[in-house]
Amino acid sequence: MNRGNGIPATQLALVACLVALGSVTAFAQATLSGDEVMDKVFNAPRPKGTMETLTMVVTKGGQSLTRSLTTWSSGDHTKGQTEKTLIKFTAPADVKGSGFLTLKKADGSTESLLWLPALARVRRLGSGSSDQDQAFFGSDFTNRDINGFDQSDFTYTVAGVSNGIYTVEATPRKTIGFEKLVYQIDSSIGKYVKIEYWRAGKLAKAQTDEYAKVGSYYLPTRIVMSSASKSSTELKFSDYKVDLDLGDEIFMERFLKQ
Amino acid sequence: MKRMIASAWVLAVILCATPVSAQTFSGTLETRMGGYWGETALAPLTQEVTGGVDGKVGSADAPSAQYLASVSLEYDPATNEIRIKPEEAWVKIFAGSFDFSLGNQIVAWSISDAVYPCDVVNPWDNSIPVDRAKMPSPLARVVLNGSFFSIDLVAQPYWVHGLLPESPWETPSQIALDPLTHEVASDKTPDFSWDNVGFGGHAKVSLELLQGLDIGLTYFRGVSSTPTGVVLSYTGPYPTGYYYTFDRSTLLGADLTLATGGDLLLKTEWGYTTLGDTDLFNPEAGKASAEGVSGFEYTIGTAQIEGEYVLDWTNGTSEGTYQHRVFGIFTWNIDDRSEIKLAGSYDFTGSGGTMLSAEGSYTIADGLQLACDMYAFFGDTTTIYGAYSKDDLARVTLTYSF
Repeated sequence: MNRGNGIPATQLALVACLVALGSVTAFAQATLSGDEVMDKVFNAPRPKGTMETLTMVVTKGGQSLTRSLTTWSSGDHTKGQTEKTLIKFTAPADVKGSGFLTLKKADGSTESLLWLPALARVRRLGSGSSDQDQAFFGSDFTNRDINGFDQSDFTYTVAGVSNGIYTVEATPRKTIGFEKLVYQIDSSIGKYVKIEYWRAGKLAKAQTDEYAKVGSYYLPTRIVMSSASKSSTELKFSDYKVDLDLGDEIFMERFLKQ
Repeated sequence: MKRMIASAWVLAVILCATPVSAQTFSGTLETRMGGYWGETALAPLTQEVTGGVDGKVGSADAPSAQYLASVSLEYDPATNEIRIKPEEAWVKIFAGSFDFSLGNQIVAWSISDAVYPCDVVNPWDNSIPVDRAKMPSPLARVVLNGSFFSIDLVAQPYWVHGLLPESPWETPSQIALDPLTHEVASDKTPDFSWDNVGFGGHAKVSLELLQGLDIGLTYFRGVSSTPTGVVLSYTGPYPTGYYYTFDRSTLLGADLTLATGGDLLLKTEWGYTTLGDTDLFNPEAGKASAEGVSGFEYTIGTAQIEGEYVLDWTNGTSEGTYQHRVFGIFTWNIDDRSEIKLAGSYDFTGSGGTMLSAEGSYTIADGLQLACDMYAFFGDTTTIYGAYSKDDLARVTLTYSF
């Protein structure tokens, strides 16, 4: 396996929780402001500890590459906890067995370790959260898409409500590479089911999300990011285990190597 | 050694039959073409098949045991030879904070990428120096895993020799022997005895300083797996053969890795080695050497720059001899399919020597990868790189992993 194959996968496991953002409170009111809608989306409770299987299919020019991995995650750095994520690649064979451990602390600093079974070696990495606008693992997602935005990064305006779907325009307070994001929020589950990324007046890419109820949480089962450049990336989630009491022994070098 | 490997295989087979084990079969098929600069056409270099089985006993989160057994078969079209190489074959038991493992294993204690001062447990395959690789060796191993530290202890009951450079990569001293002797008499290899059991350990402490600090200490005492001397043998007054000798060696090493934040990683590693039973701190001339490496890694998006400085020292009757080298490596993951790596090194010995290399890989489909690499050497023939100036090499490799 080349070293780079594992590096951009830093926060892949966070997709499940950061995109899903936990359990759901359906919107009771008939009409909410943009801030109120997004407040419910961003501040919904999240599973305590999560384990899931994930398959990523990147399609460019009609050709696809597939990677499968298992992830363990726990903690929430926004609540002063260390956010821990461990990823193990299970397919294809050339990356199978390699693993990635990140510890994101409350102060925003990140420790990263990479396990390379072919070299029987754990490498500490200097880059815990490399450039947020870089493509994530060669996919149509950026690292920022995967890590999730902070609620305070935007101002929100409701552009319309139809059949329980809120359309919310998010205007960035700082430069993020897009002039606006347009969310579609399903008020029955309190989740965004589509995000459009607009740049220079044109739709640059669009993300669609599907969910299933796991325990008391709605968690993503499929996310597709389609770019204007005709490439697309599909993330499929399965075998969810939520609210696990994942001890520190999971997020250690020893388990990374097993 | 054979007994140990066989035992590991038997244990692996028993564990395979355990109903709770999660087991996979995997391997690679690799075909390689290429040639040396002076040659007129590309030629098949090696064809290799590797296969193995690995698995866990118990749950995925907390396995009670793990096993791996693999073997490779290599065909060399130039000599029409087929070589079967036992690869890793081990069983590991997890008990509380301890990991116990037995079998043919690889130990990685070094933290640098240019040289490996503390990786002395496994013998090295130097047959093609640009493909230098560790050879699995029979080991009994215990690792104590703490919350912020680990202690890794190994015992090597049986000596395994490393492989020396093969044609056209022989060192000047190897070539100088040939006209005299034409053949190697049997080596004076270490016996299987308590005195020749290798043993040592590596302790590592990880601290929450900046974005992570690792400090390691290494000790290993065993018999060198590469020759430490050569003795001519005579029939009458004329030399008719030679044999290599392998001294006992003792290594003291230390390493440090610091992730500073800002995508920067700093690291340094030092190894001090003595041969024979010379005094560790007041060694006889020519019986002590040291190798140190200090460097950095800096990440820019999906590209990485590494720089390392290497110092080699061998003691002599006065101050000893020094060799200085610098390495630079640039790696760029272009996208999910493509990666390129450019590297260069300069040896300051004499009037200097240089190595340049370029590698590229492209993933054609899941598990199928096409790679090419080339190496060029220049400079003073007394330097490491100048000595290889007739060995410029270019290769294309197709690998299928299953």
